[in-house]
Amino acid sequence: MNNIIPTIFILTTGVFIVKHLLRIKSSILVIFSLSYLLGSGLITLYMFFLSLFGFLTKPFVYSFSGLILISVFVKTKKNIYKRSFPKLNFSFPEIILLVLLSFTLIFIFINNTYWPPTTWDALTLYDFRAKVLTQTGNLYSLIDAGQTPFFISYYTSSPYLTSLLHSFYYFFGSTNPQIIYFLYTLFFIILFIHGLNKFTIRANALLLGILVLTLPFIFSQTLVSYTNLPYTVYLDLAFIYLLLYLKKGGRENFLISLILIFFSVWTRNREPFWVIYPVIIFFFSKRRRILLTVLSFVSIYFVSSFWQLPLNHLIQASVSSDKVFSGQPTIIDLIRFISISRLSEISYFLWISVFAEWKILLIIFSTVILFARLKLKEIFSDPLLWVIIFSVLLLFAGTYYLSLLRPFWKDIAGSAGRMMIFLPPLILFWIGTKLDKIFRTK
Amino acid sequence: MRKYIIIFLCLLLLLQNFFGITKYVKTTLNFLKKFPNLTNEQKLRESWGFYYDYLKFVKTNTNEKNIIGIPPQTGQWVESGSQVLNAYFLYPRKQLFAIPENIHKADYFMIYYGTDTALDKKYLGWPKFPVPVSEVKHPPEEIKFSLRNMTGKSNLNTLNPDVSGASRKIVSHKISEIDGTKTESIDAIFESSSYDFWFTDVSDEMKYNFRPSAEIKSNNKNAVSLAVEVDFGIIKAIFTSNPNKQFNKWETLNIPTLSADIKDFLATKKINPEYTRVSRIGLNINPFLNSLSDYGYGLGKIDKNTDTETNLSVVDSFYLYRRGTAYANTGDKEKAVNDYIASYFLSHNDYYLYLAVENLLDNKKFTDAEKLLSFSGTDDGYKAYLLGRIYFYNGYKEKAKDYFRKAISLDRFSFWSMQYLGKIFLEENLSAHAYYYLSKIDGFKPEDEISSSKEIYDLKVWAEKNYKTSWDSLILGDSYFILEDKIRAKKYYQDTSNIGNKDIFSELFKDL
Repeated sequence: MNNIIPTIFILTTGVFIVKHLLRIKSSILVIFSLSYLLGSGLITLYMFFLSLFGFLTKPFVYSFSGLILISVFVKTKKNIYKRSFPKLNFSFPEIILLVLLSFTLIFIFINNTYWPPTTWDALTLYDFRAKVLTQTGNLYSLIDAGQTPFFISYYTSSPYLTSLLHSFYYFFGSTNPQIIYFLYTLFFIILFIHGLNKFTIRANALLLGILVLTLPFIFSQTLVSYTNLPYTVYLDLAFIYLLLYLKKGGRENFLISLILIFFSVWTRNREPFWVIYPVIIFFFSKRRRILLTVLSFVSIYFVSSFWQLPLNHLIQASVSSDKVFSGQPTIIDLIRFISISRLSEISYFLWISVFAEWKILLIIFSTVILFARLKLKEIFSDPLLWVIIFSVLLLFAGTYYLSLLRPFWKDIAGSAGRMMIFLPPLILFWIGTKLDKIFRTK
Repeated sequence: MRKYIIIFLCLLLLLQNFFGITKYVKTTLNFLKKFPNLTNEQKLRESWGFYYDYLKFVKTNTNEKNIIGIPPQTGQWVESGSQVLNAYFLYPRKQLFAIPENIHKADYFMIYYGTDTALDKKYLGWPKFPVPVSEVKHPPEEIKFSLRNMTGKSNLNTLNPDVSGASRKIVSHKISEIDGTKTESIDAIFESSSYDFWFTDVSDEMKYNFRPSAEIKSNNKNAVSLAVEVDFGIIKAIFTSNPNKQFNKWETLNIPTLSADIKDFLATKKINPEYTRVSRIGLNINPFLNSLSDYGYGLGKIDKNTDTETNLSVVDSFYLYRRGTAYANTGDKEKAVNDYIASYFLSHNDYYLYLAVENLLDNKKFTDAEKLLSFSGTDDGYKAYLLGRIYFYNGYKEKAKDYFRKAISLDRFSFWSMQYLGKIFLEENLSAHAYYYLSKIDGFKPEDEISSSKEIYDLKVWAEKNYKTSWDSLILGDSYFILEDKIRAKKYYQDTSNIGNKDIFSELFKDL
């Protein structure tokens, strides 16, 4: 019960954005799914500003939620969701896939309503910040909690979306906010299948949806209070909606994708994969290319770092006092030290720590590339394929850079694996977009 | 056909996925079936085990404004040494990475044995240095013991509780006859250790007997030590023995050094020995242990008034160690060494001795340090490191190198040995060797240690900044060089050079 009220408030806030600001018309499942994701982002931004002034308290949180609730009811004059339930006539394979999907989701629900946050990073950072902010209502209390520059920086140098979302649930009396990660998973899968259904038949979309959900490295993230899952949800859906915009048009698709990518960097900002977004717009947008590229780049960059400004001086101080390495490689260094052996060492490291787990997925990916008989023109006009290519190149370049910077760069193996979990769903989505073509070809 | 190949591959992936997650799903569902109604606290206990219990104990025994000294976050204290993990359970209490220099800023001090996966048991047990505490809180512990044949005590008299700082509850206290001997038995539950003296007056004829003893049998090791109150006329002092070491066996406790200790005390305090006599005899129950880490797990309350003179002076190894350090720092090396030796013989604790040797080395008392170190019969990494330092300062570089290498082989965390080896190799222009050792030192900064030098730090920074080579082949080359396998060393240096910057390693080939 203590999780239901905050969930309703988040959904209501999201409905306000989706229906009344973006005026999106879709099925109730899609509306609710988008609403939760966008509502979470907006509410946490509001809470962040409250915490800056020490006003993150029950009256401010409750009154905001109440106002949104009232305005949604006032603006919604008739039941706009009545007509929009999806068709429920399923084929036998679809029923099997739905059963598997439901069982997996039910397990995640049971697990997440039973276990509170217990994993290392959840306790040391995300849920800890939530507890401190709920208790004190003031962002600056994290400075007091950190005590030394190193730990102050640890608490204040990553974005606050998941912490503040935990905090929102705590404000309404929740004792276990892990339900959030179930809801993110549920709504992600719905939107993934819905998006894919625009490119392939429903059975294929369901099959690829369950494949995404059960990938062990995705599944494991649905059960813990880390930022990797929400980040994956926002980033992947941003690229999916961008693809929908580029392929099928629709201003609302672009706006949704832009807001989703904002919230991806409001969840995690350590990895710069968002830079692919303006690049894709630049190469693939048919209208106002330069304007949209510049606008998206500047705005995403702003969202990825604006929250650091109030405590920026503290983060800087801690970096200089705890810095171990005195210099950074120059561009000349980066080029000068490229060698076959170094590149092969990095490739092997990335294979072991990231790609080895994706073996069958990569086989399917390669098979689809082979069977789809892509022409050069098709490759160059496929935004999602370039998102995948750029992501891998960025991973490679980042690891190469790190290998010059730190002698112990191989220690990041676990993080590298977690960092890339956003890519397999995009690969599966891309596969989905090609299936109809392959299945039609004899 | 293509359709079926892709569907087959997708089903294969689905099967692999389900295979990958089934184990977790099964374990979780079994657990939920077994424990459907656990509270969040119990679930955290399930996830974090004893560490959770310990942090709960710390939280219960401290208030929100307290500062708690914590161990470093190394392998054996990876959880308790994590300030950010502890904070989840202890917030808003503040924490402090404890070192001897800052410990007075803390209110409490974690005593935490650690995860028993260390290669060598000596890495376990925190703290590793003396901490002035007035009380050690620990989980409730029942101490039962029997006492017989105490010199100077009448069989009819029982011991009476005297001064006590401990939190304890007496369950029973009686005299009975066991095997024809009058035996006094005490059963008490302690929730903290502090001084807890029980005394009885000694008979007149025993007042000048400086060889007191008593037979003890207890259900705990370290449960009881013999205590003697000596009246010097103008001041009284209590001298104690080491605690019992046997479990449920009769053993004799005595203070073999009592005469010498009294003599030292008289000399230090400049007291006329004429009025010296034993005034009372008794026990210190659940006594402070010489090394706090011997408690296993607990919470030490920092004594903020350790330098305050009181009429009651408890002479123990820790007291002597600290007094020795005070003498060493003020230049009275003879008194310092005497106190250190006395401290060592009271406790037989190598760690105090090693710290004492370090103090003397830092004060450039190399001969005295060597003399003091010769008392230790142990052969471990710390001792090898100290011998390396002594030889290093005396100019015997090769011998120093041998000892530093020995220290690293016995103690893979002997970073100071790595530092010294780096320094020596640097002086010998073996920069890759220096780099090899120095780059192993994690988070090293020049201001960390009196003996460190700016040039070593600069070299470490240089080494890391100029890291352009295959790390593995460099390490292998160095390893073979040290093992004097020059053919293999040359091969790996060659590999390193081929990958990276030839100039850096050209010097190495000259040696080969």
